[in-house]
Amino acid sequence: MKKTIQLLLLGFGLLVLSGCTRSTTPAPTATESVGNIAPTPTIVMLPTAADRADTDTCLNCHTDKQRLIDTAKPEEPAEEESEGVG
Amino acid sequence: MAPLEPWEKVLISADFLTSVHGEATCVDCHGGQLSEDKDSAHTDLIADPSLDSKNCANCHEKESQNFDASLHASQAGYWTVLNARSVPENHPALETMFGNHCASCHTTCGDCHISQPDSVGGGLLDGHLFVQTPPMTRTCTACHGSRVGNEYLGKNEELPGDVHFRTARMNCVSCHTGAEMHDSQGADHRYSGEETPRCTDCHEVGGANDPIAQHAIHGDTLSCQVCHSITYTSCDGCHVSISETSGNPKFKTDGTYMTFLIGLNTRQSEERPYKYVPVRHIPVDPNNYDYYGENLLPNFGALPTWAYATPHNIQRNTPQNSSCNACHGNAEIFLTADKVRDWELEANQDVIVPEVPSTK
Repeated sequence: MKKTIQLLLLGFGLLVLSGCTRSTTPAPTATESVGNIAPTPTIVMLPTAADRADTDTCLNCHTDKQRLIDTAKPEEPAEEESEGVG
Repeated sequence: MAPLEPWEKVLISADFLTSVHGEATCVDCHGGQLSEDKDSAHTDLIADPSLDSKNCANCHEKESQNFDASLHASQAGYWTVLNARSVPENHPALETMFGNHCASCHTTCGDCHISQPDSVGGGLLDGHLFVQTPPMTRTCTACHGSRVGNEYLGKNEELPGDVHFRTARMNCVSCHTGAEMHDSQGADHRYSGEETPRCTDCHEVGGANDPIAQHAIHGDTLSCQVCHSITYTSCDGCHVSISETSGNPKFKTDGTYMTFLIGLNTRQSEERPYKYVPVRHIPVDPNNYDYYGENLLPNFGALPTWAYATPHNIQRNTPQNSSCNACHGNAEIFLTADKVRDWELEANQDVIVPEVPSTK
């Protein structure tokens, strides 16, 4: 008899706890309701430095010291025309 | 510092590409074209996107919201004194002059945090990384060099650098905070509005625990620099013009010399209550802008040519604070009428000390 009561209590407890589990009912989708649901943020995978150099042509040159040296316009030393302390 | 090589000015570091600001593509900020050809790539390039501070405000709202009105960006201080010495009908000519000679000192966010200012040739500070604290000699004193920089760093012959630099290696931002740089609180001149920074922000003077009795004796009669600065630079007339050979703007100053003179404070206010302040001769004369028109400063006498100064060469012990009579009765260190040129007397009547404080 005691064992039966314990089994009944255990079963009742499991029944109560089952109420705390996630609902199996699917959440409404965006097509079903567009009420006050915040838009899901879009996760953008940022390119790595290596990826960037492939797609951002500016970086091909601006990360390459020798290429910058080779392509730089020669700077004419400007003649100082001002006189005195600025 | 030595000028940067052309490649050094534009070489981007790998660290930049993995930094927050490196997440954007080049053209996102700089425009131009995605092209392997250099000329095409640079078509419609925006070299300094921070010329429009809104580009920084997207993320740095607090720092940017009043920056356009700050003195570094607006250069309002120049116009405050130009307007006072001129008349509205001369403004178009002065605006042309200003655009050719003064506007190059306009400062953007990038001029302090990304690259050296244009006035010293530009060039990235650290491979395009955004530098939170601007490096002193590559940004601040790159512009503020001939007076403030030389005084502070001790570059004037036989004169020591500022005690804050010599003993504590304090840099500009130790006193001049980012908040001060980003927002001038509506001031139209660097000596209007709140006095920032104040020496008393750090130094408790005049209180019961102050061992220097002279602090309490002199109270607000003297600015701190009257007793604690040493000889500093003054300049005479800066005449501007456009070169006939190169077409570039140029200037010629009439003279640069060292002075230490105490004058009356023409900017006396609740914030600056001092009766006496150090005064520096500024490079203005009635003919400065003759290249752009005749008599463009008809109200030349409206402002002094010996101007309120805050020399950046502070010392604990100075010649004038060595004894009471090193200052009292010592006419040599006061701006008296005999030290002012005749044609500048009217402009300086409120600065000239009529009677040197008597000996003790």
